[in-house]
Amino acid sequence: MANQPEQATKRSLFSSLPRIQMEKRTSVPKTFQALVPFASVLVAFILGAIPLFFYGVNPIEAYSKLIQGAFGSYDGLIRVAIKMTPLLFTSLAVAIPLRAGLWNIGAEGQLHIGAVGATWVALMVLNSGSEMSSWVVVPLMILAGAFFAGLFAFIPAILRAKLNTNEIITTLMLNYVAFDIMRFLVAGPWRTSTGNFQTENFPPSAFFPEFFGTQIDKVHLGLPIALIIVAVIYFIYVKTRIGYEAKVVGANPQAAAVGGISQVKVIVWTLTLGGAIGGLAGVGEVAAIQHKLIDGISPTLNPFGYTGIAVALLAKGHPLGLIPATITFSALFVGGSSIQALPFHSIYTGDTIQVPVAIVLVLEVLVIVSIIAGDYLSRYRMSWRRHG
Amino acid sequence: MGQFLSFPIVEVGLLTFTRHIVYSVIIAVRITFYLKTNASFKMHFARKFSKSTGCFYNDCLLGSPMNKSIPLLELKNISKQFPGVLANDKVNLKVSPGEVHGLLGENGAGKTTLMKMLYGLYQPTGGEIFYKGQRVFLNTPKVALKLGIGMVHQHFKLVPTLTVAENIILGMKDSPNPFISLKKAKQAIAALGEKYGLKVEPSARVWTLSTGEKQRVEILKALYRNAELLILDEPTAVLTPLAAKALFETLDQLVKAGLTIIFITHKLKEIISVTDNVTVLRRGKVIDSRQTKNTTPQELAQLMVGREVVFQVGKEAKEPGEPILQMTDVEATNDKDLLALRGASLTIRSGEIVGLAGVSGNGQRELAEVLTGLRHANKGEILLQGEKVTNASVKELLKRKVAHIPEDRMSQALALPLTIAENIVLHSYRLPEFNQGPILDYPAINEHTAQLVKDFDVRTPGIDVPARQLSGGNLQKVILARELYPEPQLIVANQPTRGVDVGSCEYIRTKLIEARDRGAAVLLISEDLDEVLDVSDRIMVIYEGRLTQAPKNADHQTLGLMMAGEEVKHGQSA
Repeated sequence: MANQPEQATKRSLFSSLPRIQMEKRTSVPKTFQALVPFASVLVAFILGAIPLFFYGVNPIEAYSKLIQGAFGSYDGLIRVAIKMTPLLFTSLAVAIPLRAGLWNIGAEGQLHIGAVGATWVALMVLNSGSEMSSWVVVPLMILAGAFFAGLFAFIPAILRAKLNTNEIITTLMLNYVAFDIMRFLVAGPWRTSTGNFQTENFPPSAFFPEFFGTQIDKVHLGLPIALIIVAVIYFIYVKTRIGYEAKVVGANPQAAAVGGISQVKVIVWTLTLGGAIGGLAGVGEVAAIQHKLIDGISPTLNPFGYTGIAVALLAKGHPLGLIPATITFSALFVGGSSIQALPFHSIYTGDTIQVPVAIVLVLEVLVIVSIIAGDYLSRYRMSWRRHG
Repeated sequence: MGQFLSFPIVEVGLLTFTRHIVYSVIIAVRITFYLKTNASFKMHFARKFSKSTGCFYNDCLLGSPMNKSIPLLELKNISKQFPGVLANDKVNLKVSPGEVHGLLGENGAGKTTLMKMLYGLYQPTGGEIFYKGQRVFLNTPKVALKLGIGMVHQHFKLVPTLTVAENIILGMKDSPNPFISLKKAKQAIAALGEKYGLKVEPSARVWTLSTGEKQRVEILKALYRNAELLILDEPTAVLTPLAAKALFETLDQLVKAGLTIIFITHKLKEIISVTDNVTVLRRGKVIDSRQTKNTTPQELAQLMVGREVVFQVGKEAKEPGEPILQMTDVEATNDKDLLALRGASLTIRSGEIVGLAGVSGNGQRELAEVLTGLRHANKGEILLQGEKVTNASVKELLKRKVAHIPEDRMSQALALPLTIAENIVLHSYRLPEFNQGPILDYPAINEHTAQLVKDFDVRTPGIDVPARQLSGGNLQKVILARELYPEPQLIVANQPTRGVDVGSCEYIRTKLIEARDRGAAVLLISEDLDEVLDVSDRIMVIYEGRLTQAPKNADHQTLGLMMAGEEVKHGQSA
């Protein structure tokens, strides 16, 4: 064929740029692995500065106000603690099956089913008109919420264990089933007489006890329960036989089979337990925050269930890591909503502008992307080299 | 500040932003490019090369006529280094136009890696490839296809929901016309099928086809792209005998039409009946290249399994005791649902090592899995110390002290992200000594692990490091340590020394003999004839799912014959 010098020169234009050499590491240092989540948050903030900058907001100013909004005052701290509660539950719902290599994308649906379960108990108490003590009602609500949510998660679990259906798809699809069950109930049988899409207010005996906080926001029973569950799950995974079995299935299902570990058992218990704990998020929201079941117990912009996936990823599925990870995300939400109300001056025009709420979503997504990228990149040793 | 001033600033900002985006795209493209090719220096060389010959890359080769005097394909010193594994070691290979060239070797000998480099899926880490006498750089399958190299993979790369025609034209762009003409394609496919005897209905959906038909689609796919050199990777592994026969007829026609074929297999009979020349690979190296008519199956079997280093493991004669394992007429299917064990019978006594020789893929893996509870036996009976354990669970068999050293240590035996300790108790973590109620007694486990690591001389930085940090030989020692605790009754060892360095190899054999001396029954499945001859008390040969007893004084030659499926009478040494 003919001489094709143009093509050759076109290529050599690229070769003047430095080349990135990537070499797979045989082992990733532990410190490196621990640093990835922190670096990811940092990288997300740096990348998030780009849209802020174009919007005309000084990123440093925005971030400092965001952090102040979350940690700068007692009110902020209380709000962070409250937001953290459902996130802990939903992230546990994701993290527990994740250890066994299973992706529970259904925490959002499990949250709704849990709320429905708790509401069922509360409404029965209300309708019977009995004067039961909250020492009876609250535990019953918790049990009902966990039971129904666990049952709901059992469906994808058994399908995965017996028929090897993809649990990512089934858990995700069942979310919509859960939403519709909840909507049906608040629009139909449980609808309040005032006509809104919500149930009657719960009787006071069905309220979660509250501990401390401000006039409006108070830390409730959900947080200590969540922290206790975190500790229990940590214990299960680090110390017990079933935790070991789940770990082996997650690390190599084939080796688990050769070791005689029942995959069916592991799949069913991790997903079901995860679902049950995910349900507790819903119980907490109806019993402590709303005091009734309404359409929209989970925020539309940052649904607790889906955010739980990001939190579990940030914690790399480690139960204790969930605590700092939930604090990070709830601070992001609390700080994010606080800066929306604040006036900023455009760095271009000097006009007063507001930060769009979407920036929090952008940051959340950037955190996830940089975790995944960081996880991948930490497995390689990189070096630059320049060619003549 | 007014509105006016702001515009230039925004514009400058936008410009910078755009520039940054452009740069990052360039960098991203380069990263992906280098991840894919992993051979930047070769690209660099290619450019210089092309300047000197006046043509870019491989373009000057396109459409150049086939010259009978020079080899169609020549590999010179091709090496492929994966992290920790040298898959191909200075491989030289010549394929003449119009021949069927057999590539023979055991599993893991590096056949598939070599062919993937030819098809542009892997990049060699050393050596040169010449096609029609010109040096070529096969960076992607696209380049390979353009040159006329087509490949039929062992696992078909077809989209089940699409039709045959759609699958065949997938990814092809033969005209600037954005619309595809399926009708034309169907006609062309039908014509091709007619010409070469590859009958497939072009409008049938692929998922409705049989395995043989799917393979025909794969071949048609390559032919449709004008392949001159066709690589078939273990084409008969998934076929029924009848479909295999049809395939061989097709190959005949393809050769008559002027195609060159590389035929990868580990089945000796196929090599003899199909190929003109054969190259034998072992452990990534070319052992020999011969004309098929000047060789015999048993010679090839010997070349394939080798007789490299001869170990003499000290072993005393021992009178075997009571039968531990009695297996009669077991039938089982493989993962492809084809019959892999056809009435296999085997008895192993206490204090006896039975060596199982055979070319891989004759049912060894299935046998090991049936014995250890991982595979369902459709027929037959398995007795362990007189008690029926046919299709018992893995857990049950572990309780009865059946140890299993699986063939594939990375994927079957170990959980690489977990620690040495966690891996070492994988089969014994249920024992009371490692448990306190539902809680695992980690101090006891760690103590146990430390002891075993010392006893078995496992070279590891610690017992809490992930298993993936250890070398192959050390990992095999970890598995061995695990399987020998608690004292097993029956040991099923499938390729226990494959890919293990010489020192560990000898150690593992000695340990198996020690276990025998303590009264265990050992089934040693190995493709290494020397190992079988050296370690076993009695040798069985597996061929097409049936086991036959080898004569007492069997040597390499006799075993080679038996492995090739020929009947050898007892006492007769061929």
